[in-house]
Amino acid sequence: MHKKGQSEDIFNDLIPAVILIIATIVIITINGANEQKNVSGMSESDLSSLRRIDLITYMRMPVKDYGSFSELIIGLSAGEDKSIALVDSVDPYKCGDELSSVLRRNIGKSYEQWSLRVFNRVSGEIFFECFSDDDFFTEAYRLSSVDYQELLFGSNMNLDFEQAYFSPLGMQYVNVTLPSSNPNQDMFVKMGVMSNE
Amino acid sequence: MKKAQFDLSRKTVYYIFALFILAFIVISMVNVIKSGNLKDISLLGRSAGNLLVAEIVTSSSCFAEHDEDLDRNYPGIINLDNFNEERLNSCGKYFQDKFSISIDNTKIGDSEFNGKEFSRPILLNDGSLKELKVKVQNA
Repeated sequence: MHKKGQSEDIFNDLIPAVILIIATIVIITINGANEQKNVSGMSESDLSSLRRIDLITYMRMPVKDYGSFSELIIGLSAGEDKSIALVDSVDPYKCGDELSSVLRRNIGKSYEQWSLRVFNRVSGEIFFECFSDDDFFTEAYRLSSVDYQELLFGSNMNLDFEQAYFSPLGMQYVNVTLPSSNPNQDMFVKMGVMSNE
Repeated sequence: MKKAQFDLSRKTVYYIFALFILAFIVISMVNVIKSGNLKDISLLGRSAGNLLVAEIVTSSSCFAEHDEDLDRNYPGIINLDNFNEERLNSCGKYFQDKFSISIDNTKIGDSEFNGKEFSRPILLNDGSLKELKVKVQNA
């Protein structure tokens, strides 16, 4: 009951109502975002499976006289002449022109930007790496094999393969292990792709 | 100014103010809910498209190469001999919308519809790497 002369402050009623409505909006937005995250995660999981199949397909891809790409990698890991197709004359870990040309022609049909790195599964030593575009994947994204081993076996044991590289934003990764007759020569292939799927 | 007049004018301002705020809030809520639902629907459509593509490249009832002796499928490898309308009918049965599949210039499936195109690298059984394109309605 208002005393005589005291005016009713009707705006006091509005403030709690607005606060409750805003709280409701926040709750609805958070729920909506969670729902989208679940749907988006489901979609990303489907895509990840498809990209893994893509990587396996690339591993089966024939590379001139060397059989399939995976056979070439396993052969090279077993000590075949690495200079045949892979090694760049300046950078021993970089794709040679011949292999680079094959990969760019084929992987480039589906992915505009991609990276392909091959590691020794046991030692973590990088074997070689190929990129869709050398200018895009600048040196800033690369680590030497020594740095990589330091990350794997040094003080940062918890870092996995993905975190061991400074990846360009939006890059999605899949990987596959190529077994060989000698377990010490098992190779680990990691493909990164950037697409608008 | 009399007290009754003062209260009436203050209440009018209050209701106008409240109306604007409530209208803004209701419109915002509708937009938030609508945009969330639309995004979910578009993601689900894309997901359905990806599942169809996955079936096409991995299932032997679709086009994936199947080794009878080993009873093994080869995901990502397509036998061109199986790339026909007859095989397509046993493929994507759960999928209600129209879709078409093409490899190079060979196209099978529904025609003349608008939709999103999905593409994946595949190996043909002759060893050549090609691009499989799947056009899906409502994706």
